[in-house]
Amino acid sequence: MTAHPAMAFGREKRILLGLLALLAPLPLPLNETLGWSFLAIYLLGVVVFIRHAASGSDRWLSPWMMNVLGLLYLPLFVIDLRAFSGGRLVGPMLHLGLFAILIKLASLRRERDKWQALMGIFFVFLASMATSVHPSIVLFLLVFLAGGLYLLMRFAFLHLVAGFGQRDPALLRLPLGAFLGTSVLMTLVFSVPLFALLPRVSSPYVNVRGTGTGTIIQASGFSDEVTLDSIGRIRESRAVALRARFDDPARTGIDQRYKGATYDVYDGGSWRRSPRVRSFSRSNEGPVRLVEGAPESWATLWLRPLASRSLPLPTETRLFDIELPRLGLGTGGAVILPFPPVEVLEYRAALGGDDLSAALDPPAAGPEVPTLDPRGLTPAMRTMAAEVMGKEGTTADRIRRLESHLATQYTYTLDFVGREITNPLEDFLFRYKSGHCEYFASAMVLLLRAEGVHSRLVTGFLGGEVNPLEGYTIVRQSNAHAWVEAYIPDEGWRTFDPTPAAGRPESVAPSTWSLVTQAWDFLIFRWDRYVLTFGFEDQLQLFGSLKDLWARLWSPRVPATELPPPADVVPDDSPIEPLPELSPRRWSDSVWIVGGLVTATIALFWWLVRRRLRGPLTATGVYRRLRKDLAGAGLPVAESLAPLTLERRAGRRFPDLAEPMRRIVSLYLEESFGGRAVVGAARQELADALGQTRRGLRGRSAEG
Amino acid sequence: MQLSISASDPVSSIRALETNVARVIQGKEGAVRLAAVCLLARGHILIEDVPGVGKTTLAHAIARSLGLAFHRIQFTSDLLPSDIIGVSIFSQEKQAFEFLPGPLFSNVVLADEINRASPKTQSALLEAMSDHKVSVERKRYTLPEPFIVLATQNPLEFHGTFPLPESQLDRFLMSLRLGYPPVEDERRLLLGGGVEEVLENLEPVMTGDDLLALRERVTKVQVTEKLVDYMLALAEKTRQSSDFILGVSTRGLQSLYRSVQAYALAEGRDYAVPDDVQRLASPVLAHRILLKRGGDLDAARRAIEGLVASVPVPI
Repeated sequence: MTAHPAMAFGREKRILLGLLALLAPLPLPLNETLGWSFLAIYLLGVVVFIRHAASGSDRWLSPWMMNVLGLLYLPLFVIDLRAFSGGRLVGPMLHLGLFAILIKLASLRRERDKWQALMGIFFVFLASMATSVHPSIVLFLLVFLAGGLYLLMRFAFLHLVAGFGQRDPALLRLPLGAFLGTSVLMTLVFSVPLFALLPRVSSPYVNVRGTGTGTIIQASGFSDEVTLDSIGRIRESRAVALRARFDDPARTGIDQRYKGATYDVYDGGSWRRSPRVRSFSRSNEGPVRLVEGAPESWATLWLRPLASRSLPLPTETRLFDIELPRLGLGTGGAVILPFPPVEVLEYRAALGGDDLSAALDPPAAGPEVPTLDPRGLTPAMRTMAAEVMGKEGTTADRIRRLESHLATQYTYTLDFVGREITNPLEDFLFRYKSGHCEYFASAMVLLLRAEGVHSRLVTGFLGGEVNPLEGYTIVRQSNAHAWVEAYIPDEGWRTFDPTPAAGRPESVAPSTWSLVTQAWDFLIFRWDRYVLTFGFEDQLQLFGSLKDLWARLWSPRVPATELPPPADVVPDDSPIEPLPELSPRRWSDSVWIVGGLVTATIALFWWLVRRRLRGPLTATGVYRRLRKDLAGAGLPVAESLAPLTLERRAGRRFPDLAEPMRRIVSLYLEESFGGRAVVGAARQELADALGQTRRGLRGRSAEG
Repeated sequence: MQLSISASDPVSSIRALETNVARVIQGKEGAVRLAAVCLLARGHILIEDVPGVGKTTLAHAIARSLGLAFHRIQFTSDLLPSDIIGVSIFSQEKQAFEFLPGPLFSNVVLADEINRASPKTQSALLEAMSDHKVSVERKRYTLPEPFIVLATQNPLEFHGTFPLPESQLDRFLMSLRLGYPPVEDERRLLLGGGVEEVLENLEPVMTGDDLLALRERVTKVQVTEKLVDYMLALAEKTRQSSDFILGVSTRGLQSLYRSVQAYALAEGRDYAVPDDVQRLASPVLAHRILLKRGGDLDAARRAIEGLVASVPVPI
């Protein structure tokens, strides 16, 4: 052990450790991998630890208590593994790691514990790295490592110094606050611009809810084959499915439909997805046109991983734009993704006035036509269809008669306990006369087919919750719905919904309580939007705005130009413009900006260092220097030497300098213990006295 | 010469007191300064030294300079508590017991050779010193303010003495040691024909109210946090070091704090500096600690001084 107890730096090391622990899970895609609640507990624990460390208390959790806590967590870990994470390992392992670190921090007592906790923190950091690879995160890691290394070296140095009996209090006092503040600031200063400006290395997260597990795909209601109860299952979940922001404020909050998947063939109680008719790669086609007709406004959608290959689009969509290399289009006009999305997917859709479907026109007639496929039809259903729809009026009138018949004569229920199902649709129509949207829609499709009207089942979302904080709509899985598309000759495919109004997912007006949850959702949305899916387009946009800002800064006389109008909707016949390429000119811009930032940072750092080295003229600083100079001149200056005693001894040793030294010491005492800063004339006096003593003491050591 | 000085100029009034005392105690500026500090810091003084170096004279001079009610009690082994506190006597006129206050009921009490009294009598003094109150037959009587006990004891006397217990020692703010005067002063003393006459003619230079006002002033002296930390570090060292059986108590720390304030005021500052702490560490703390290897007050003083030399001074 070292001679000096203060040389152990226990308190400083603990605080530093706590701060590092606080930073460690930062790069995690928080809302995906770690529950917010778990993270909150972790952060709370670390904050308590830091407070404890800062108070210098030495009483920590005892080892047996730590063991008990560790044992208590084991059953929780099993539950975590089985119930919350569906058998996947990464999330629970991260939980376990964080928990272990927390326990370790709480039981810190010896030097060895600190290094163990530090290693734990590092591994959590590595684990969080694995969930998202990004230059800024790599940089963050480097800064973290460099900081840790610097700290290690510094501690080693101080221990060494202490070992040789050096007891300069200036060495003892680590500029911990300044060091941590600066390193955090530097990390931000470096990583934020790099995050925002460098091309992204996008890599899917290792662990996202809903990938690769069959149960969730079935529950989503958008898989290739759905049973009649798929929607019922998905509607039990309150998880957010997608968020949508409409440029036209009038559309926000209306009963918007988002079409997800279409189903043509009904066989043995389940529906089969409409086949794919077209694949297209985006690079040569740009925005994808679905339906002819002039778009009116744009909507931006963010789809969360839903374990489904369907891309929900508003039913009024004319064209849409998404950053994916390949897409498929079904015969029913639904867009099919190449794979289930594993991160938040952002796309834009241009909307027209009505809900004309993008589906292909059906062939004339015949039993082989899927939209007239007679499977599942029974004689009773045929009779009923003929009765309800009648012969009078246009096709549209007849369809509407059936729609309103179902909506008024049947009741909505999600409760199926005790039902015996032989033929679900027949039971629904003639026996129970109640069911949920999938029953209503399926029945209507079959009844329409009995009367020769082309029709299909559509699944998607209806309505949502308007979040007033940023004017976007939250669509939850409970907003899942099923409805009908029917073909009206000379018009096209139209949407019909036989489900009674009581059974449809509602558009919810924000209430007081939901404001809280919406504020929370807003935070998650922001995280999704500006951290997780901050992509190439965003970077281009940022470049543009930075360039504008730069230009405006240097030509102040030019009035600030208005923001460019929103992206023009491509007219009907004009060729679709390809996405702008990142030109060399833009690259040079980015080099300039990054270079400027780096230069500015280095300048700032240099300024800080110089400030620290020079410092403003304080009597305390001058007194410190006087002590050092006197020690250099051969006067023994022990740590325990009090200022007035020093002044007396130095005055005896160097009588010619007694007066300026007396002035320095008295000004120092006034400043340091009397609370009176050196200002005005006293400042000059101090500077003069310093100059005098320094000149006087120069070269005195030889005499001493 | 009657000097009544207002507390508005604390330094000169403290100087006047010191000058006055120094007329009889020559060549002992340090001890006189500490005695004055003790008065300012509401403390009691224990003067410990061999006979004949002026312990009693110092106590006497302080009492006279303050112009307060003064009693000298010569402690002996047969002294009873009632001899110093007072007794209740049945009054024929009032047909009731009447309390006759003892010599303790005065502002300045000189307890001469305190270690000669029995522990019972010593502990009677104990309550008076800490609470400024005495209890007689289930009644409590308040002592006049200011109340100062100046006690003397001879460290070399062992025969028929009762050493003061730690609890009682802790109640003295400082323990002073006078030592022999410098040769020059001693020579002058011999030629001058003694100090008795000077002592007899000593005029008070400060009233009780002046002293109380000065004491109020002392509490306003600034002590920065780092200086408090420094004092705490010193105390902590006495508690943790293997050289000590008994470290500095919390009361001891409070005493140090108050003395440092008073010393700073006496030095003409309204803030305390590390030098004040270093100067006062040994007089305030030495009689409160117990060394493991035993030893007298001198050994304790040396230990405290060694300790001061090992704790870094805050800058």
